[in-house]
Amino acid sequence: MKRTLPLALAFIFGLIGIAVQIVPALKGFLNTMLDWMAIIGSFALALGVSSLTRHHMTKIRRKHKDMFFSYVTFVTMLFMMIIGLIGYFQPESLYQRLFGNMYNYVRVPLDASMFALLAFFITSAAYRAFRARTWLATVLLVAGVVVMMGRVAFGPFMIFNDITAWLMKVPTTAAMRGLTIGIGLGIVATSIKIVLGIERSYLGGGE
Amino acid sequence: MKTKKIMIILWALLFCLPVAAEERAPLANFELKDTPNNAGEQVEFLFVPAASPEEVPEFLLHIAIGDEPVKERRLVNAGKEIFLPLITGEAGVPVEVRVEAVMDDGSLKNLGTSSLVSRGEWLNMNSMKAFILGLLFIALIIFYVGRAKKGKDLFIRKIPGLEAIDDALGRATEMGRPVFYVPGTSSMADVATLASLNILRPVARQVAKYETPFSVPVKDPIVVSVAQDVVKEAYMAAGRPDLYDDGIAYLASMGQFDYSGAVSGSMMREKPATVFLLGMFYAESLILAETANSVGAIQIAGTDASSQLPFFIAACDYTLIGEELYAASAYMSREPLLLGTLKAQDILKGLLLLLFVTAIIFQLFGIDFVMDTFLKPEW
Amino acid sequence: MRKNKNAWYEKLLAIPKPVIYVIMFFVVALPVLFKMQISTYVTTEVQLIYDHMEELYRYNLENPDEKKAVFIAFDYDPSTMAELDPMAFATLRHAFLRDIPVLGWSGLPTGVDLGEQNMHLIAKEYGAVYGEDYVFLGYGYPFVQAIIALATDVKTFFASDKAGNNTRDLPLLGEIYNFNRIGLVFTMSGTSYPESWVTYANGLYGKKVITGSTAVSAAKYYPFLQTEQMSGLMGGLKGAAEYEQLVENLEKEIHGKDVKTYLENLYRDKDLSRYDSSNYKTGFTPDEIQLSVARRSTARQGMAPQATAHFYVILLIIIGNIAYFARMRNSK
Repeated sequence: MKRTLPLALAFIFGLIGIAVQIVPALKGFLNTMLDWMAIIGSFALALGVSSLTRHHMTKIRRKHKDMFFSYVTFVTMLFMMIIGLIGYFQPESLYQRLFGNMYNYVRVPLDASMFALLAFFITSAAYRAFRARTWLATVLLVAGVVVMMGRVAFGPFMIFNDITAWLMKVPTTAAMRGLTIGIGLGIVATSIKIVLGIERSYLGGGE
Repeated sequence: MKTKKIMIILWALLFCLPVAAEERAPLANFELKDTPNNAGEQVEFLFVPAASPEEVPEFLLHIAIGDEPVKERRLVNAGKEIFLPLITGEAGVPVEVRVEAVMDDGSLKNLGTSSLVSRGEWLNMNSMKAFILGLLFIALIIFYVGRAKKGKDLFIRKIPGLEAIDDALGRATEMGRPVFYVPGTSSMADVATLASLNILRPVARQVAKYETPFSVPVKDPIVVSVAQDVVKEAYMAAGRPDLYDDGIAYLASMGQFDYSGAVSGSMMREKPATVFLLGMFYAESLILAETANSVGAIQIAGTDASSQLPFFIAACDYTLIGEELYAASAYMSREPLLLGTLKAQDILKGLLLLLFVTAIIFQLFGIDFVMDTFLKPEW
Repeated sequence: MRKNKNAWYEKLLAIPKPVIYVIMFFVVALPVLFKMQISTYVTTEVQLIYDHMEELYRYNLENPDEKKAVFIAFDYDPSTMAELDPMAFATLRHAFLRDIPVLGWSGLPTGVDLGEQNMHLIAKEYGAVYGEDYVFLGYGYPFVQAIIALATDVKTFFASDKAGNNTRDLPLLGEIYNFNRIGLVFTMSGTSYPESWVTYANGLYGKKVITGSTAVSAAKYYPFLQTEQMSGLMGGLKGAAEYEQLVENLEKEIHGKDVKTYLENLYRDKDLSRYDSSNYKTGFTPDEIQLSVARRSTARQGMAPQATAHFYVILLIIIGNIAYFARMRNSK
């Protein structure tokens, strides 16, 4: 039962998904289905919080060497939850401003810093990866350098700008299209496998 | 005599015609049309202004849909044809559009009325070709699955990233360091996530067999519960349910960069020997890959996000490119059912390629037949 | 293969990551600290934008009673503002410098405040009056219906603007309320909205659409440029820097080289009763002047660290390859 029901559901809703595409009159049902997905999805939040809590509670209970960070998680989570809730019921209050400020001046800059780390990571990755080990690696290396030069070209380096434009418009586009077609077919194949119940590893068991 | 009279009248009419036609030259042509391939929820109004913008700067439409009050709408005359979708909601709704021209002096001139009743179709012919292709695909799958079941050997080329999985897991065991598995940062609705969870199963089973510490940080709450199930079943299949714990797959965070921060932090502290990054990734791909590299982990990455592939290729030891990710579960399990679908997929891809090339060759000779018949959605 | 750990190439190949990162930090930080700017070459797709605006300006000179406006869709939110803000600044500057009326909205709920702020911010630098010279309508949603409303009368779609004013009370909207009197449509976005603007504003109503996009998505808009469905394109920080440079040259031509003095004297002889302080406060503090001057070169200042970082990475790649080949030769 535990295995058959999900498989049956996947089959039925998969067929409906296909039918909706070819029978226009069923479009209305699609909307109902999407509404239900949104409703079920909102329950996921509770699921997420419970998983997070359990994970960190276990760490604290087992006195894991990094349990300090679990405390940090709990304190920040509860803090934002509480001021957010109070702020919601008392608009224009101190709590609402505090919540807004925490979001704008703590969370947003932290997000931005994480994103900015990419500048560092890209340097070390490039230093390591761009070596002329094989002729294919050499092509990658040369193309990479040309495009980088082209993006900041000036004066006598202007030729790089033209080569970059060509590289972007011709070989990159061509390769991307091939990749996209392959990925598209892969998605179709995986979907059909799931609908037909051939692929069931995602349900936990194969046998 | 009679015929002569008639001839004279006809001649006279013929000369009058241009004058009459000029007087009646329409200021605009318009037509209400049923939208094809729908359930009647919408009709189309096609409007082609014939008068110049100086002569008629604007047109006024009076739109009546079913029992709703008549709506007025001004159309700016830009000299271009205008296509207005009108929402009827269902089939069988009468629609009427009366058009007036707003002349340059501000006066209104009636141009007539167009009306129809919205109609639904049973089949959406624009999806038919895709549907037939899908049926062909299923037929191919059934055929090749049958062959695989009979024991016919199906060749699959080597995928280095998947070949390396065993070694990578063995290495972690030897070093006594954990294995991290990141199933992408998208939701269950993404096929890449499903593909990743399909690979998680054999990986988890191997990890359980080797008794290696395992960690699956997840970004989406629904994916967490599925991942927990997959890991649990894999541990049971490996005969080590005692090693399983619900905390193996856990929600690290639901925000994109909070998640990458949380996972990078765990990597720095726990120093995994092997890191899997399989699934859908966005801008966080390089953060995860480089952090894994800096703690000395072997990284096996794979994604169908074409914009993130370059980062993985530059930073990781092995990368599954695009559809290799989808092929992985068949490749690893060698199950005839899955191998059969893989083969069917390749045959279909070959057929499509053949079709593309044929279409291109025909187009070079100016023949659109192949292109129009097979490669356009319209029936 | 025996490794000679003391060889120079082995040391180079094993440069620790922290060293690479620290150098990267300085490579990015120094140009920012020293306010380095690099002048960039102007590509045709950006020159086109400038030319279209100037054409609109000339049309308005010839038809002072039938002036045409530019429409700016701020279809972006804080996540892409580093690249797109400078574009919006340059466009607004160009419009206010040439006295071209501006209408605007945002197609993203998270971009509404940003769009409104930017409009007031730049309007203040040119003494533009809200409701007469520019209007910010608010959240253009549902997107397609909002664009179609621009073909008829946008006041029926937006009963009030973002600030809550009745749109029928705003003199600018009394005159300019649909595509008839809009010369150019700008959309600045990291999303796929520009494609919708092409479909509707250009396809249906024949408007010239100009796109400002992030560097990542710029590549996909080149085909539209080729078919003239887009009349100009700014891609990423570089596109922004180009337009910024063109507009700065124009501003120097009109207001002279000394922006500070211009800003200090801007509100001296003006009738201040026309300005509503809820939009912006007239007059500048010394700090504000400094910020305003700096804002004129945001994109070019961003280009400097971008360029130095690029060169640093290229240098690293060259060093890495030299060391790699040295090792190969020695191992043979």
